[in-house]
Amino acid sequence: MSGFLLKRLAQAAISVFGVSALIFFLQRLTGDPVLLMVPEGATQEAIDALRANLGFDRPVLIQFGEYLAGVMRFDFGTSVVQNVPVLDIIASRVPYTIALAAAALALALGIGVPLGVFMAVRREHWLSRIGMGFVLAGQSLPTFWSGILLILLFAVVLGWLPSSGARQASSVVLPAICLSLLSMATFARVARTATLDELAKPYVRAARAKGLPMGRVVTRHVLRNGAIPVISIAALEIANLLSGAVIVETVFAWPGLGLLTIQSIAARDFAIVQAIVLLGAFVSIFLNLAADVLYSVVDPRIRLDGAR
Amino acid sequence: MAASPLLLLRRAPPRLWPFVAIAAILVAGAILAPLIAPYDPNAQNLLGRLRAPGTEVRGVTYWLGSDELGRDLLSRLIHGARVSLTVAALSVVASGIVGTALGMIAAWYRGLVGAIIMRVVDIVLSVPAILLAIITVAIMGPGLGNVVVVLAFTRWPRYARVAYGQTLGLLSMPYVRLSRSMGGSTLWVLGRHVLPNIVGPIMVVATLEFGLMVLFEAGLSFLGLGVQPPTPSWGSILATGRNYVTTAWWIAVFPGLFLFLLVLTVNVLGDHVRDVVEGRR
Repeated sequence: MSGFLLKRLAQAAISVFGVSALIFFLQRLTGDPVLLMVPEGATQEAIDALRANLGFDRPVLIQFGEYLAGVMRFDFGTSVVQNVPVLDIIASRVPYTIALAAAALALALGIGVPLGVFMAVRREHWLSRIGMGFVLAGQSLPTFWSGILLILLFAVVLGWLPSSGARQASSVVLPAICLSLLSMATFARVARTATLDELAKPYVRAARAKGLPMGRVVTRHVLRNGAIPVISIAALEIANLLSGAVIVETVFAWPGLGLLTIQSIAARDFAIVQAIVLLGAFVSIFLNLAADVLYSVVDPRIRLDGAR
Repeated sequence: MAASPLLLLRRAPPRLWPFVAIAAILVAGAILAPLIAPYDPNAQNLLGRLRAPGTEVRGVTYWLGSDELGRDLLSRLIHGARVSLTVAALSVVASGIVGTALGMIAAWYRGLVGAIIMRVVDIVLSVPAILLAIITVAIMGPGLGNVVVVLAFTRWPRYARVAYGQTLGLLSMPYVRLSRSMGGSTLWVLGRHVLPNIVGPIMVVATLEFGLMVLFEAGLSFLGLGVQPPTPSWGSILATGRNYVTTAWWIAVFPGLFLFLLVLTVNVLGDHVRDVVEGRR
């Protein structure tokens, strides 16, 4: 157990270092980073002053060392545009993105999993056919389009919900639905496959043979065993929800990290963009690690020595 | 053994025929865009701004309506198919070639070279793809060519992983070992014996990636980071439509519908190709 954990932790640490290096050199290799930060039409003097101010006139390796030291301390520098520490700006937006992703995850799990189980248990039911159509469509639906359709229907035509912003509690409903659709389809598909796999096993037939009603077989036995793949992909889906938030937040003007990313690109505030991508990568690496560990916790049959 | 995807589609079951038809129509529309689009996609007509679908203004019929500059939406969508399919095809080809080559090289040399390549694969895949694409395009600047480069850079590791695993398996096959022991060069063995046998699985990744690339290009263009105006891209037309959603719903609804149909079609046909290649049918 500890050997496997140590190995996965070491891999995660290498990934964290690698991602930090990737983002740093990407910026250096493709041109002058200072040019990304100044407004268009800035004078050469202003560019040189900013370069000296930010330390970009020193050797690249020294810059890289300082950058890594900063990343380890979660010090992502100062926003050139707002003159405030990047971490403060990000911290003020994080709660919005977490609230949105949590609401979307609750919707995706709360609807996707029961739908998937139903589609497996009642395969010929008309609702199952509609469900399969939804799974297929959900994976092909561009979120920026479904978002606009939701706004059109619920905000413009029906006038039930606010179309954008985060002024009231109900503002989260439309972006959360929009963000949840893809994950909902994924959960439904995985839950369906997992339930079908379990239903085909001998213990189900044994339970039925001793007279247990189908409903009880499903709730008492099948759901527990079928939960394993669902739980393990849940961690990965959280990562997808967080990165999917970039587009959904832009569509609904939801003031989270995604909207901040796009606003910062427009404002040429590159320190913020870089910090958000790094944080996104770190969270994604951590969630992948969590998924691996979770997988072996919920399924004791999987040994944790990496010999899978 | 690898078969051409077109051959696989000829044997498609009847339930897939509508999707084959949609794919054919979209591809034909993209290729023949200048011939079949009713009007010039960039021709503005300030008297015909924001007209509803089916409206006629001075002999010009806007079948799917017009946008905020009075340009014909249908013509822009037909030309937009060109952009979508070209970017997706180019980025799939570029990432496929780079990824497959690097995956094969990693499996051939193993040791330090292999470890480094596969470590980079892990690292690139650990960054959420859309974030990596956004930061790269923010650094490089928008534009059709840059979007292709960015998408290829973001997605090559998918192919490298598959190529690496497949090549490792093949290198232990007797005929490949024989070819090596008879003095076959690296290029000969990989090109003549390995590549033809891993094309199938690579093709499966490519078809599944194609839909994703269409969505990525549209997403980047929607965010203003992709193909730049006035070049018509479904994503950027949608972004404009968002601003007029209360007064001119058609500008946002139709490009999204085209996009949805294209991605749905690619995903359905991609699943079929995967099932055939993996021998499930």
